[in-house]
Amino acid sequence: MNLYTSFMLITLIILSLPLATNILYVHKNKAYASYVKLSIAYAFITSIIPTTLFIFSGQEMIISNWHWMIMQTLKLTLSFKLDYFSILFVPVALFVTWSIMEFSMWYMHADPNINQFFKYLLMFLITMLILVTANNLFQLFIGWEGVGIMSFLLIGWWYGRTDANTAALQAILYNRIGDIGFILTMAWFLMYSNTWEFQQLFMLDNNLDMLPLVGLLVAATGKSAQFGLHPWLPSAMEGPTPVSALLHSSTMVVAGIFLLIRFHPLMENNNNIQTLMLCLGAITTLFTAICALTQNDIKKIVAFSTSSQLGLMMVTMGINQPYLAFLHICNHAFFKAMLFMCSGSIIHSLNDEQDIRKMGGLFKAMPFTSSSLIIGSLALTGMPFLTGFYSKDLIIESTSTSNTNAWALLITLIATSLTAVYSTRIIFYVLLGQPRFISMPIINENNPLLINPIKRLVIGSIFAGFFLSFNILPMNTPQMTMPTYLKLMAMAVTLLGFVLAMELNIMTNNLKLKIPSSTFKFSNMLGFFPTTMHRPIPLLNLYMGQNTASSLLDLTWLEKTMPKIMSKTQMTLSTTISNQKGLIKLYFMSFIASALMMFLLIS
Amino acid sequence: MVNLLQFVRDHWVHVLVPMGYVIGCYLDRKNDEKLTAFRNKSVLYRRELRPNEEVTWK
Amino acid sequence: MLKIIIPTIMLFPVIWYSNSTMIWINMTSCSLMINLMTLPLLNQAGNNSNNFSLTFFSDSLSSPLLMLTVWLLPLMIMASQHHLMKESPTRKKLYLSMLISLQMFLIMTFSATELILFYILFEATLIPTLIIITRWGNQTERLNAGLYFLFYTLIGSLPLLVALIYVQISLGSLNYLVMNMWFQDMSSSWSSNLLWLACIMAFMVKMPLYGLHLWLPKAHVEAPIAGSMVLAAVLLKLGGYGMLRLTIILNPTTKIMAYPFIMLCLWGMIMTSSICLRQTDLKSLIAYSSVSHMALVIVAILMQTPWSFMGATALMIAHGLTSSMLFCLANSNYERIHSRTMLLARGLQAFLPLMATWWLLASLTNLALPPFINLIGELFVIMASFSWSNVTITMTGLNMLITALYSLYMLTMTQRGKFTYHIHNIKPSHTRENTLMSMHMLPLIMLTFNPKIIMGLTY
Repeated sequence: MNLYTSFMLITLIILSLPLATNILYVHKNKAYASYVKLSIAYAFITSIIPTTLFIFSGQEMIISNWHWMIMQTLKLTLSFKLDYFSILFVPVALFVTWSIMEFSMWYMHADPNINQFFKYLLMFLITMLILVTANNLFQLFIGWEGVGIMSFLLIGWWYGRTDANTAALQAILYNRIGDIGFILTMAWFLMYSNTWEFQQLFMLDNNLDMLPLVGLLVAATGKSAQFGLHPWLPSAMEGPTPVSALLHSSTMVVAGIFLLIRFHPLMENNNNIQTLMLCLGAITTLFTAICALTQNDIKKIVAFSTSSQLGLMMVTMGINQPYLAFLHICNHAFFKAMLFMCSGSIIHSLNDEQDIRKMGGLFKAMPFTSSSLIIGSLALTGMPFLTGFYSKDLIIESTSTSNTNAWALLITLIATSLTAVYSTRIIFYVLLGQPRFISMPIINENNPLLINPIKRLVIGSIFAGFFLSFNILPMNTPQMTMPTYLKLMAMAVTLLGFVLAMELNIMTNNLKLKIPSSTFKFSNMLGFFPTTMHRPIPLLNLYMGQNTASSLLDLTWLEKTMPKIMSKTQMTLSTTISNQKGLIKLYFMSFIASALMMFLLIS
Repeated sequence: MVNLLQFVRDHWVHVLVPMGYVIGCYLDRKNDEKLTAFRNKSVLYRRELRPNEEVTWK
Repeated sequence: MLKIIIPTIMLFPVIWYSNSTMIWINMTSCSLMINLMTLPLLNQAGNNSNNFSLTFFSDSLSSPLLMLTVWLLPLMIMASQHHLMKESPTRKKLYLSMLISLQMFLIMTFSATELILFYILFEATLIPTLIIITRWGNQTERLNAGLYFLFYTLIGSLPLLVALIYVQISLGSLNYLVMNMWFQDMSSSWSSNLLWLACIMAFMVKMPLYGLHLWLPKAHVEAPIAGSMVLAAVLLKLGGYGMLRLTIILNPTTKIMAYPFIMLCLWGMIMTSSICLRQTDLKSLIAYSSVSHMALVIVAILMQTPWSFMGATALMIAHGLTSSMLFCLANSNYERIHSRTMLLARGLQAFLPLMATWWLLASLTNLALPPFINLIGELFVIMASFSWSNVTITMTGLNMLITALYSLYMLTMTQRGKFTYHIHNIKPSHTRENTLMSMHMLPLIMLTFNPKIIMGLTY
């Protein structure tokens, strides 16, 4: 059965067709946006076929078709790997993108460059699919850098805004730090394994050095906004909401985790790297959850929750469960994209108001958006039998039953509970209570371009987890039995979070505000990370560039020691040696004196 | 006719570069022949001469 | 080789006998014709070189560079049209004659078989470049720049002449083709270290090595657009080419002598990149970015592995096209804003969207986005240096980071942001300019599809 390869290629070709229409000037007309949307929908439908076949037969595939070059012993070809991960992720990504495209037709309808916006989104999607389906490190790197650059372009979409430009540059900065790790890994593999093909890499010695694995971890940290390299993700919310929904929640940011999942065969026997991943993930998930607690920008809260979920995925990688992490990636895509779309709908209706303190009472005004927002939040917190439950609950269970360190487990549990807290906070401030927004904007959510995509993702947020976990065999044995208290642990902490948040929110409404405590400041100031790490280091670099490199070395020392000193010595030498000092009067004087002397002598 | 003359006067310079190419090719060819003239003296490249064929050097 | 050199010489009568209205058209079309004649050189069958005569040859190292030289002439002519608009026809012709003579010297330099011939022509390229810089530059500082350019290069290259004469005496020949088979290891004495320095320093200055690079930003900033283009694209590559050729006879001294230079390059790469981050002058930024890229090439050549040679050659070609394109873009900004300061040009994307696309593409190639050949070059160099010593990855990786930052900083500063009011009445971009940019971009894209023709000798 070769339906796999042909349908996969058809999917990719359908996706790249709208880009090819550039040449034909079809893109100049109004319908380009819907054309792009339609082609993504078609691509989704064709990509369903190989996925179904895969679920049916479990057969993996490689398409290898174009020799790019062969250097010495290294062969570089264009090849696609269609295994468990890529073949499942492609339809999920296409489904989510399809909805987001439709949503952005509504959200961006007033933008004069809407066609270009769609083209960028499509190019992003293609690079993402290249990343997911790549079969060698080089091709993966093409996708990896491609999504980075597309995120730069899309975050900076409103290029007149300084904040947007800064955020775009910031995203590139942190991603590039990750890329150093990627390059390191590539170099290491080239040196010791002499190949970049995944199959050959995994077939060779599995007991690797730490170096390439740490490189991979750094790469994943940059791309997936793990602790240390996380500040770009909340800043990236400067971009348009569809961009946040597509890039910074469901697809691009999971690329780092995806990379680690790809390289899992090399990591499963290495305990050190797993401990590193576990601790990094645990810190990330707690830290960003704390940061989310006191933010007032609705998009920032969702962004921090994304970062927290990415930390949870990293924890899952740390306990050696890549399949669970992958399941969480897929599930997370549905409800997080939807949460962003809901907040986009609210922001758009309230005339670009993002502060949750100025919302409230939207339950009456926007019933559909409100119910979707609630479903999304519940799915995020892991409410039983919604999508998030199927992966999140399993993750918590397998963390608590594995023999990992209790510290990481505890932190993860606290973060899980905090998830419920900030979700409640969004619901409480945005939907409940009295309206606090100005009464001018006309709130209307009855646009099919808005309702339909959210509706599809609501269905996804309710059922996708069930279908995914129902149809796909777990690749390693899950924990079957455990004590009741462990089984109920995830539920219990989440419920605790809900109750706590409700109490606190009601309390803050009734009580007078005291002077903010230091904990509040810690959370609100993002853990003082921007002031301690984010700003001083680049500042130091820039100072070094200006003072040391430019002013001191280039303009002073190098200038003084070579050309200036040369000319100076030449000048001094020539003036010393020369007997002409330019003293005209003296010369004349001596001439006259000697002439007189001669005259006197003769006479 | 006048037009043609005018055209030629305006654009005759374009002939120069292709002409240079032809001259260059010719000189290169000449040089090649000069360099390969003694080929049949070398043991490595020697071959049987066909009837009526003469040696390339003289 | 005469079939390329004679048409190039023929360009002189073409330019001087042309109608003064037809100068640009005639020159561009004729130089493009020469491109067609040079194109067959790229087909290097097998590992052997094409020996055209006893004086000229080309192999897979020199033919891409030759092609780059020839390709750049029409681009330079197109780029300087606006710069020379107000000059009289005679001066235009004189200027173009300088460019043609430069191209002629460069072609002969890249295809010479003899080192002495190479040396003479290497020095001969200084003359037209100097005239271009000091006669047609825009500001008074051009004289100073010309002085720096001349003296740095001359002081570097005079020892080379002495060294070459010595090698001629000791080896009996300075022909590359013979030297390949005839080299002996250098003795491990102090004098051979000096010989090594004498041989390499000329090219190090030309590349330029960090510390000896002061002439480059000055010359680039002060030169007219064609001068900047040819300097960045081809003249710097003369240094790399010479080093690649000469290291054959410098074994095994290179192994020891390379250490300080590799250190200096790695350090200088980061230093110059950091300078780029703080530049306000667009042309100066591009010039410093050239220094930083060329440092990678020096590192690669000094490492002496097949991979690093491949990387060096690919990076030279890629950087030639990219930096030349960046200079063209900077010039098109300059013609509109009348200032090289980046801040004054902000927000241009709103006015010139197509130009913004070219800026984007140029910045992306400059920061080595995969799968462009710039990445292939940089990646191979990084791989080679990693296998030479693992620690270098911190330097090369940091440089990669900073390169991306300043490239995008340049893009953001000139294209993004709120536009200023003094640019309300700028001209739209000409077809000439767009053609110029696409003629830089197309070779880059096409080479990306088939990079093996620019991989040099060790592919």
